[in-house]
Amino acid sequence: MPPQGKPFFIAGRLIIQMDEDARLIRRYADGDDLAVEELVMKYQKRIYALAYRMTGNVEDSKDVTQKAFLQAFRNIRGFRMNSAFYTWLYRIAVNTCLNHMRKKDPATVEINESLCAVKGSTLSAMIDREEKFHLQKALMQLPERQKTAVILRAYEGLSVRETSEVMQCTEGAVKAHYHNGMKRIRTILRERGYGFES
Amino acid sequence: MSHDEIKDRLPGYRGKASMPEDVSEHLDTCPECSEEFSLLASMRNDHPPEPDGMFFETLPQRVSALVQEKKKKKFFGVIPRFALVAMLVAALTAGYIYNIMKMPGADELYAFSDPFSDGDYDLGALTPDDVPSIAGDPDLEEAGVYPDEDSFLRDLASLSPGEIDRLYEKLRIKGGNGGVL
Repeated sequence: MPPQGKPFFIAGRLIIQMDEDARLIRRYADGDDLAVEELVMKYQKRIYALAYRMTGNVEDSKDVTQKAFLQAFRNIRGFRMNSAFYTWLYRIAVNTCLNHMRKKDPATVEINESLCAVKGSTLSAMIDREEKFHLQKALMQLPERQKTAVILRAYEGLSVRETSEVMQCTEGAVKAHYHNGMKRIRTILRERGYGFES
Repeated sequence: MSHDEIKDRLPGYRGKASMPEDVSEHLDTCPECSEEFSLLASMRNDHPPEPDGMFFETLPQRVSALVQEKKKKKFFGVIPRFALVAMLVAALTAGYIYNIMKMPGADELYAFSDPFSDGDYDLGALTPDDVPSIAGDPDLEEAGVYPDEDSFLRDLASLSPGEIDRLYEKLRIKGGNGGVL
């Protein structure tokens, strides 16, 4: 492991400051396979959560999580170190999710209609399973770009800039997708009888 | 901060305690931002279900094993290609060496006996006039090489076109016109 703060090269690029992720990537590039495990361990829950928001299905999320990590390590040379590793990893995970959902037959998407009974409630009190189901269903009804922006911003807490890096679009486009997505979710939930209270 | 700026920043706040005072005050007076913040709080409370089995416990090792397997496949995938290229090069080299060994030498290629090279004649010194004199040389007649002029001409006539060309060439080199030819 290189000493902290000492400049060094990775793939011909001068790295002056290196965070923990970059050090792990360097270890992997140097042939240390344990670095793979450490990186997976660090991000697996976040990638799984992202995949679950995108697919709405546990089994698909598990598949996508594994595929996303494999894609990332297969293309690790494509990581240019000019952005954070996790935004790069998120981008791969989002693309893997979208490809997975496009390939999947829409008829196989699981929807448990028994949970769709309309109930009056406040969003701040949406903690039980049924209410979560409606929120997840509303999310699943969004167009791809809106859904991605809402998931990255609202659920994952990424900034506008980070989200624009993941989605590879302008910050303005991220704001537009996010606000349109949130507006649509509110509309869908209102139609299902949920109100809003702070 | 304006309404739009605050709305853009809402996903970054985990609770009212974590936000600046002006944002908190805005939420108290703006129903739209207040609703948005309420919805965001609900979303953050909606945790995905835990995967069954030992998914998180085994995923790092599984990914690591698959990554290593890919690396090996990539390495071994190259070997058959190298072997094929090596075999092709070896076959071509062997064929080339065999052809060289089988190829006839220069002596074999131009194997014809020059009637003049067997004697003591200096062909380089021949002039056009020398050819009839050789034909009529009594010593040659005596030695039985050319008993008469006709035998020389018959010998000459028996030469192949290639032999005649070479004879002509030797005579021409000396500045002659090909002698009797």
